[in-house]
Amino acid sequence: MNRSFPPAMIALVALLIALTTIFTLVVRVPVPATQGYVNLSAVAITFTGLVFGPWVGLAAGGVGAALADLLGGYAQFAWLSLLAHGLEGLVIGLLGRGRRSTPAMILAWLGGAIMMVAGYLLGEGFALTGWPAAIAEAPLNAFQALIGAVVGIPLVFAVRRAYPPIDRLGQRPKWTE
Amino acid sequence: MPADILVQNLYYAYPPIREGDAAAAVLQGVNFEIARGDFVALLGRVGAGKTTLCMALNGLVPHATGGVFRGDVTVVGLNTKQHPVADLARHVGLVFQDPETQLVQMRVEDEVAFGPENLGAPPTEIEERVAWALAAVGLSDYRDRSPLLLSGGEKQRVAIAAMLAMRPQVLVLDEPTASLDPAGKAAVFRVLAELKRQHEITIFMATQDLERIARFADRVLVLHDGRIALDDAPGEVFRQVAKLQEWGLGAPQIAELGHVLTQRMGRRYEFADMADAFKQLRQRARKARMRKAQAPALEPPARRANPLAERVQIAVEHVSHTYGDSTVALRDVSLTLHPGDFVALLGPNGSGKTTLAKHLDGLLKPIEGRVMVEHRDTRKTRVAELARLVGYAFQNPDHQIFAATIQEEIAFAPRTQGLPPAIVAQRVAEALDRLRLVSYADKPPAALGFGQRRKVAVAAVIAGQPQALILDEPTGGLDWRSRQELMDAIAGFNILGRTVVLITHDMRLVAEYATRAIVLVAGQVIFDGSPRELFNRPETLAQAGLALPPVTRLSNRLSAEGMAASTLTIAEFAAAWHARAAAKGKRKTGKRSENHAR
Repeated sequence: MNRSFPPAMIALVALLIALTTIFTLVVRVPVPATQGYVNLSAVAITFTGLVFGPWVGLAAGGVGAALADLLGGYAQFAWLSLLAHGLEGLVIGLLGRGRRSTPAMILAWLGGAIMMVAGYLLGEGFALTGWPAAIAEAPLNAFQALIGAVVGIPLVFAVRRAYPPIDRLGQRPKWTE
Repeated sequence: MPADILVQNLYYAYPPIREGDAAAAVLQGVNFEIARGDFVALLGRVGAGKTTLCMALNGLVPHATGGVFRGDVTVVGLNTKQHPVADLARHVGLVFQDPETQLVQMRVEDEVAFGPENLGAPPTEIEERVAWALAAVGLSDYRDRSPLLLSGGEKQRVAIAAMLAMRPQVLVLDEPTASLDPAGKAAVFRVLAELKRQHEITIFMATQDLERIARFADRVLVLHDGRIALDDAPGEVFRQVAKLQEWGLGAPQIAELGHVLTQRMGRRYEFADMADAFKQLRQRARKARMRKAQAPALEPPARRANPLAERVQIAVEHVSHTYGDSTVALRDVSLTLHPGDFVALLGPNGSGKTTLAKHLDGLLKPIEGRVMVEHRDTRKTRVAELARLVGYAFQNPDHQIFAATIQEEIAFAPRTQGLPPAIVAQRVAEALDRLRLVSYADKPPAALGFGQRRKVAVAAVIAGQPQALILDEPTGGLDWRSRQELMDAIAGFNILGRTVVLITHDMRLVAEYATRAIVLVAGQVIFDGSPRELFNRPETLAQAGLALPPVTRLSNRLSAEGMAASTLTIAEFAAAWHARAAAKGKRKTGKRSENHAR
């Protein structure tokens, strides 16, 4: 019985993937140099990683961002988004899960941000757009990550205050006698 | 008879909301046993743990909620500790208060088939089960409809059918009728009584519907202080009116009447039901030789005259409204609301009550005609400005609650009005106190039960101190005392010369509080006058599907014995009865006869 995946977790991951997709799609600033775009995905990914941990962060960040690329006409970026944003969520979750102090959260975010910026830089440089464009885009990606921290971290505090059981969502509840 | 439900020494505490908080014990030693085929009602205050107990019967507590669980719950021979919810769901169907929380499919048929599909039943058997379940709730013709487009009562019956398709032995229902209109309530109770009779299904239902419990249930359990405090037949339980009231629970109106008469007359009056009350009172009336001519029937005190009736607060002028799908919701409605009016807005579901109410605060704009709120045309005024003048508490509190804590929710309206913090704090403290929410001030709304969230929504609207207050079904699912506290807070608001518009199906509320009743049928106003006038017009009541409160019906039936007809409330009935009974002596002195006022 404990091997199985809690149904609530399936619903939660699906919801967070959708959340990431929406955050990615809702504001899109095109970057002419790479044919890519700057968006708000980092807000959702920072939130997801900090609250729900690495695996949910990986799934929601990677799949959510990739899905937005596919839906929004940037299909060439989908595989790279899957990797870069997935790793971003994974690292934020690894470093930041359950942390309640602001410095710890910022540190976790920083780890994730580096993964994301580096991921796009390397991916674009080697495979998609070539190095000049990739380097030109890197500061914009860093800016995008920064928005993730500025909005995402306060969001974690706000949601925890309004709905404290958020940290238990998706877990199989344990009961004792 | 084997016991279908056996609960022994059940103790349960939810996990703390915030880490580090103490666990809150909800159930503290619950014991009871229910035999196969019994219809048992569970009564308890808002927040007493009724929902928790319902969820314990199919294992959701503790398997889905965690926490601390001691004691044993055995349902159809299965101990819930050892069996996962998925297994228990084959034997126990659980229906929630809000059917929307459990309907997931696009068609009624799929919704009902969902359970047996998950059991892996063969298609022919699924079809059989669906047909049977839909027939049992009287929805055989609804297969292709979308559950979301049905009325509340129909939705609830779909939810019941979906449970029935699992062929459960036990059906557990958590306040299934709290947000239904009288027709929907009656339909649900009829279906349950039929299931019990024909299929020997054991029914366990948490509810506040005292009048219907008295009629339908075999037994009533009262949950008080985490334990079953009373466990007996409805007649026996409701005999203890004083105790129930002390616990904040109340009793059916006729039982309450017996209690009041006992106190007032210094003699014992105890009524099992309407027929019993009629028989007893008729006998006493005859013994006392109450006659129509003996003395004037007590003229009930007129409701206080409204000193502000000259002024116009909201004027609705020839308003018609048609929705996008060409449903006509309002047809040429005209009415004037005065400051200080306490208006009950009545009518069957879909008669346009909510549509009219939404016109009063500009949430909807008239397609024809106009609405003037304090001399402002709602079509030309911003909703934000109107919102300061007219407060609106929605039927579903979750449609308006959004803040992180109860306190902040209530502070929102005064704060947006730019009031200084000291006054905001004062308004919040007052609203919390009025609705007995002080101990929840710092809690997040999500941690409260449905009934308490409803109180929060009303408190939040009152704190804004608008000129007029619209309440859409504010008392559904509230226990007796919460209902009283809520209505007293609203009456206190009204007495300051502010307008109250109350959308309700509860005729007791209309009788006890309203000074004016407006009846809508098919988008048209068919009655606008005092509640007393309305209660004397059976054709209008029938047309709108409204039923008189039990006390009014009783006094009408007794009017042949010389009792005053159409008393509105228990207090009026008792006063009239007292006056008639005392008239016995007057007869001997040969007082002149007067016409019995009807």
